[in-house]
Amino acid sequence: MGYRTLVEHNGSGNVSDYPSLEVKGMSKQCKEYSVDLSAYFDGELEGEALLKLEAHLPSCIACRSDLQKLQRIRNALTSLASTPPGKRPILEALREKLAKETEEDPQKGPLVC
Amino acid sequence: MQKKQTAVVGGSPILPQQAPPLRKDDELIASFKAGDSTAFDDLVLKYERRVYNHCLRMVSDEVESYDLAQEVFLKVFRKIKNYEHTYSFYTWLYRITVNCCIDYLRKKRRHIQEVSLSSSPGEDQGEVCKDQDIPDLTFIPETALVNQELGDTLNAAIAQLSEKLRVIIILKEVEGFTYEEIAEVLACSRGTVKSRLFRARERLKELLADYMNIHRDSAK
Ligand SMILES: [Zn+2]
Repeated sequence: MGYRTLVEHNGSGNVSDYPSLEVKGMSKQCKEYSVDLSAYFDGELEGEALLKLEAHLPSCIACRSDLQKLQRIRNALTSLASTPPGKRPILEALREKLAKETEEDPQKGPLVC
Repeated sequence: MQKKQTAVVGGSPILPQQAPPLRKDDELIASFKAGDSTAFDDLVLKYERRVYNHCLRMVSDEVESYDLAQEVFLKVFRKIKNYEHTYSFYTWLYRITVNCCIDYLRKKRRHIQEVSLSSSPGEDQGEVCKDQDIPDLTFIPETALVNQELGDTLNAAIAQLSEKLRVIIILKEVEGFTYEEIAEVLACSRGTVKSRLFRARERLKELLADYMNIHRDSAK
């Protein structure tokens, strides 16, 4: 079960939907899971570590809340706009630079290896 | 705002259906090695935006990022004949990009240390306050300003991470690399990727605490 499945499985994903779960924050055991939790979020956890964490998650509100924080960070970072590089295409500037270099030192050019 | 590019792994971004098919990286490299200089142009055009944006996230300066992106492609141009297919071109390109950014940041840090030791405060301001550094907000609509504010908050948080944590969070969350690909780009182990990503996220949780409280619902 991946992070997505877990959130869907738990309906709204709202941590307050689980009254029976402990809400005291991360226990010592949870802290031991925290590095694995980050890898689990990325779908990169495997083997025994994955099985252990998957057994722990359904009963742990703190870890699930942590997963949601990771998702919020991801949502924020993926919303960052990608901007075009400057007013002038890089290729144009690059061609000029390479032509100048070839002029100064014909050993370095031309535009072929 | 542009959404995250998915499926960039292996160097082939998903393109609109009407766009002409791009030549694959391997084909472009082979053509370039065989003497077709337009193949190199195609590689630059294909990746310039991603390289530039990676530099921008790393160094937070548009002018420097433009120069850095040029430097990256100059290095690619000079080294491509030695490029081996041990890694994908995409990974190799990012390795060069990351190294250029780290070199730049190290030089800059050294320069700042030297300046702070040798000059009085304010002396260097003429250099720092270039025209390009001052954004022109005159015609930006209100919604864009809100988005810009969020962007500024995020970029400020990224800029506060150490270089090692910054590069790894960008490769993962902005570029969408897998752990294996990040390990190839940074020449480190998968375990290092895992632990550094964890540390980067812990730090971001602290730095973005206010933002996270406001946007609690966005994880659904
Ligand atoms: Zn837990």
